[in-house]
Amino acid sequence: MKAEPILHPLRADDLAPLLSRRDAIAKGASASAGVAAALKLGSVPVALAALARDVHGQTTGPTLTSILNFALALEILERDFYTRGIGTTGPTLTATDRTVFTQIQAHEADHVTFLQAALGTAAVTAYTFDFTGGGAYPDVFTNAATFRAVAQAFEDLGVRAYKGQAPNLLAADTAAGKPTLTAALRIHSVEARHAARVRQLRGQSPTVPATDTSVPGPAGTGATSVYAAGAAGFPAEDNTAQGTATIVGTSGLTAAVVARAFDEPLDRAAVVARANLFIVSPKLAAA
Amino acid sequence: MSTSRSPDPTATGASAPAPLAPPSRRAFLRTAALGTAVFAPALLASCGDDELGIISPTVPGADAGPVITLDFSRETDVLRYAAALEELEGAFYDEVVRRITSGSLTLPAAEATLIQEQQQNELAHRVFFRQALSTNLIQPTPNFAAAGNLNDRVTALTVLRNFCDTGVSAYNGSGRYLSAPNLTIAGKIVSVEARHVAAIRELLQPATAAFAGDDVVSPTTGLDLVNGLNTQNQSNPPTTTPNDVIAVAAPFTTSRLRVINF
Repeated sequence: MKAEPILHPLRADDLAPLLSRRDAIAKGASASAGVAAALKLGSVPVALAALARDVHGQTTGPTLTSILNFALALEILERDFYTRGIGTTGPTLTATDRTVFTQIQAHEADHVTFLQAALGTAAVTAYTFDFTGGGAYPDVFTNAATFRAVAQAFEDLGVRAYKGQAPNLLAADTAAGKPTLTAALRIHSVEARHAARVRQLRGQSPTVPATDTSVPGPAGTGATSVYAAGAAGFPAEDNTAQGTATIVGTSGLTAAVVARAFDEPLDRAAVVARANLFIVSPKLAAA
Repeated sequence: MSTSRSPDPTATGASAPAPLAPPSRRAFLRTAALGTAVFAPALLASCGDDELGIISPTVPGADAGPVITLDFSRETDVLRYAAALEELEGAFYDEVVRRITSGSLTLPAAEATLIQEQQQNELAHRVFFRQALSTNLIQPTPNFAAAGNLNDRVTALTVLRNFCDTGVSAYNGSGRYLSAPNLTIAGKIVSVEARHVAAIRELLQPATAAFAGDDVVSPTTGLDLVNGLNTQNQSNPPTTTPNDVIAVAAPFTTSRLRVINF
């Protein structure tokens, strides 16, 4: 049986000039910035995607509305989680815990407000959550340690989710100055601050190590761990391959350091598979 | 002889003590020529391409050396901007770690470990950019004296905090100029920068909200800094620019940069 060409509908002769002129393209000649940059960083799949856009003159990514609603869902999840956590039906928190989670909750609430405003009538806001993760964390609101563990999972997942969507936002935000992309980057870095502090509340390093098993249960281990790999091109947090650079072994840098030094994005489908553990309805779509 | 930076890509990151006075342009060129073959051409090439002896009003500095112009319509220059900030920040991390190791700066053991770990992560970022940019890399000459007494714990942590916060703001403000693969890499880096600074802020103001305080995260929008530390001007969309970042960094380097076409 004849195999489907993996580059369909790109024709082989679309590809040949790309490969034969690789050096020229890497130097920026006769190709879009997207193709050139991807080749320079050694990412052929990304280069091919960019070439597809060049050749066919179209983008095939998600809409801005879809991306923002995805972000909004995660922010509402976090906001409601923290609201309950610092409220009267949450666990008994230390004063330090409470200070941290109160500040985080305020930010998540701001993010919800911001994204809702950006989406207007297109905002999807009515969610029902199960913060026990379908029974995986039955004492999430009665045991402070469990609450902190789930908090770490949510924050580290959110950081990966925003990173995974950045290229989609880049493509979908066609407004002058890309203000929505910029705003999303400014939310992403806040989530990273949160993640660092919540990790430290649990005696973990603020950065994510190559192997993180500090969160028990499905959110922290195995296939649904927030630290695991996602789709192709979305490696786990132990990744040390960044572009074509040789970082491990340069200037005395170890694999352990290099894994920590770069946080990895996670694609939507992989984020959704994890987030949906905690969402009763409506479940998030994989794409 | 005076050299404040050895641009040796194989160095572990420790740098020699800075000269007390900013070098003249002639001395800048001379010290650049003392560097390794990989980086000296970049410094000399940068000098050759740029305006000579013009003091840009947007880039304060006593040195009358050339201003390196970064053209944000060229993606390579956006990466050079990010890398230059990483190099300068890294130089300060290296200097702080040098003092921890020598004992002139005393930190509790856990704090010393944290800072040394961060220094290693920052070095990884710099190594990435060094390889990605090759002879296009800019290594700003650090002015450690501008930071005050780096043997003082609060002073040292504060300057690192400010560099990290500035770095986060710079990435947030320049992501829009990048193509997807470079935006992804920048995202991987800024994420770690933000983790670093949250930890440093906690060291400076323990058990408070400072890790993500109102001085960096807007209490009305929940958005982080963009293009500088000025929390009075953190609107969305931002009105601050990459030159505002350069202005924040300017006192800490005798090198002069400016950004155009942003």
